[in-house]
Amino acid sequence: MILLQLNGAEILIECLLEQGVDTVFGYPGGAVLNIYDALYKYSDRICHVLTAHEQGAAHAADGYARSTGKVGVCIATSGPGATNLVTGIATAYMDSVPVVAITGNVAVPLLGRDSFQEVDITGITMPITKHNFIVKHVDDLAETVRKAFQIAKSGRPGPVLIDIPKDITAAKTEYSPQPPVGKRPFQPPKQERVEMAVEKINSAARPLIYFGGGVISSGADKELLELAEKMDIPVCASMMGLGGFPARHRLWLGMIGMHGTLAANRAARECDLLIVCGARFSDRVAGNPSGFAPNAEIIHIDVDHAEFDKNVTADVRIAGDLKEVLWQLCSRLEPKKHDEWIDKLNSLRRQVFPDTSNPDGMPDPLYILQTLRKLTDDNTIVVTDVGQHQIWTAQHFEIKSPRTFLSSGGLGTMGYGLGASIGAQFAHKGRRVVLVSGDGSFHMNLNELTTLASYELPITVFVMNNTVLGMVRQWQKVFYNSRFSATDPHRKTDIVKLAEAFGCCGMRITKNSEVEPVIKAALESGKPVVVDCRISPDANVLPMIPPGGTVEDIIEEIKC
Amino acid sequence: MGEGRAIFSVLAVNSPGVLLRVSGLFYRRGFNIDSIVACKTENPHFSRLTIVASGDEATFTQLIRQLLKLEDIKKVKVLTVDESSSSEMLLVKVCAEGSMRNAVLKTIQAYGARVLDIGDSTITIELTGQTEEIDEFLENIEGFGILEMARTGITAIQRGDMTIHDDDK
Repeated sequence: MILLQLNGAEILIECLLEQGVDTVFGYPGGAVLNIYDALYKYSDRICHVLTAHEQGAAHAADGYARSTGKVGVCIATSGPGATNLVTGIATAYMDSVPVVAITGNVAVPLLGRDSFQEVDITGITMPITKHNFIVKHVDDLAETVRKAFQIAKSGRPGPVLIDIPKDITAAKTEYSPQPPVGKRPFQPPKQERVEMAVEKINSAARPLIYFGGGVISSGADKELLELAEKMDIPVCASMMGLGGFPARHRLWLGMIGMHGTLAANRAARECDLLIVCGARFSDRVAGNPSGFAPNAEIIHIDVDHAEFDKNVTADVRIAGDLKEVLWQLCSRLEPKKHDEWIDKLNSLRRQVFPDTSNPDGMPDPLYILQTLRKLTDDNTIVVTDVGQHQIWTAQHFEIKSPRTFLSSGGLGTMGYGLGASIGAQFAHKGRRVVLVSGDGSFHMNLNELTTLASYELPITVFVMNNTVLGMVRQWQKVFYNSRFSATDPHRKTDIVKLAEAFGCCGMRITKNSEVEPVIKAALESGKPVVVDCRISPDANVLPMIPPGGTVEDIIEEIKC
Repeated sequence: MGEGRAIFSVLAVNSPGVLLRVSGLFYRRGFNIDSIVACKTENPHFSRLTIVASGDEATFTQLIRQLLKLEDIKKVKVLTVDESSSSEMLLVKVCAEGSMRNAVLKTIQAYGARVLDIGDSTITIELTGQTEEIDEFLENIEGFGILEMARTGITAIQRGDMTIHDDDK
């Protein structure tokens, strides 16, 4: 056995290397000086990416993890550094993203004395982490880091935080290298449950698959496609599931829920069997849980037992790894056809044709997105912020494969996008990363443009600039009689000049005729580019099911 | 499914913060805690929490599943009144001046409670028993004037040979 005498900071980096970490995102500070000194020493083996703000580092670790399936890592100093991670950690928690967040803290003897830059970050992050640790003995450090990685990626993934006081990073102890930790084994699915599901799928006349992010985390997209095709079952997904099933497939109904398609929501209303795969019936999917799939028996497959019957009660619950369960189901089923059911749903499909007849007219955001889709390959990773642009992208970008659509679904974090794009670009150096943002979200964390410029990241940012906080404004229009409270900020930001000031390129689209040439130029520049896309403040996200409603309440048109 | 009460026996890793993790979970998810007791166990690596909660069956099922997601929670068992022995302890200080003193002492005797301390004008009493028994005792001494009281909350253990380490069939 090799035994090395190292300090805590060096042990931390050794343990990260053990786990296969090649990139960490962070921001230095007093309590992590020893860790940064070790990063300097190990700089040939581990790449540290300096962001403008710790929140950006947390989102970058998240984007790295979502786009690869590996554990993302971020580092922040104590106090404000640690609290700046909080929104990023909560974002990862809500969307089950494996992240290990490392924070420094004041030295152990100073803990609990309101020392400079001291904060109880384990206390603060308890509700938004799968688990967290504070390391008070250097001998516990290596095991804690290993355990953190194991927890982050096992079962339903999620963020784990390790708080390391400064004296622990300085203290020396023996370190012996270990192989990387694996995931904890999944519980095998109960066979009688699988049999029950097989029977129900066999006897269903109008089955529907609704899946979520579990398909992406489990890597179950191929098994899902096989089951759907073999049994001829139409498929819809929550936003977190997008990419888990090829858009444009004949069985694909689109997204379900508040801004889902009419076909998907109608299918949920009328199906006699709902097969739920790695999804959790969030209020954005089942606004009215008791009115959701009212005529259906429900098979719920999830790795997390606590999701069963939390929001909607299931008839058959299968706990286990989705990939394994879907494979078992598929191998026990004989092919079937549901022509009548599928024909009926096909008649509910709606195609969107944006009006581009006037070359000088303000472009429809959907036209911008359709053009962007046309000009980028299927390998492109599209990241969004939160708001109208996010839903338009989810609805119209036709995401075809897993881990190519990164968006904050559960927490709905405005300002997520730039950080996440940075993480995705570092994870996939040769691939195209585009960010679709809105002027509201963009203003929240635009400081990270400086990171794009410093590292020369060829990310293209499209800011759907309608000059208003569009999603909230749309709700005010529909539910508050157009009383536009605080949604029209009258900002004077010149986004093109702003981009240039940060060392990025700035471009602008103001009319239909500019859409294609400007997008083309932005994509071809090979540089960080921000495109200010001027769109109408009255472009709406449709269709829309009001909160608490069902497909019977769907709004397909809003009069300005 | 009506509202009811249940006793949850929880085996947890004996780590700092475990009580905070559990109580935080109850708070976040809107579960009501009637009482919570944490203590050491025969194994120094584990501590045991006895939680009395109220809710319906669906709430209890969800509560157990959520508890088991916590990294530090190793086992959760629901103890029913019939299949468990449970007990709590009351300490109460009542007025016992002059002529009242005898009446207080009689009540203490009737309930098998214990006198812990006698002051110039008060008696401090200890009573261990079922919750209902303690409630009844309190009703009976209320008239003397309760100056202060403390209850431990319920602690419970399974009847028969089964323990928290065994899986129920």
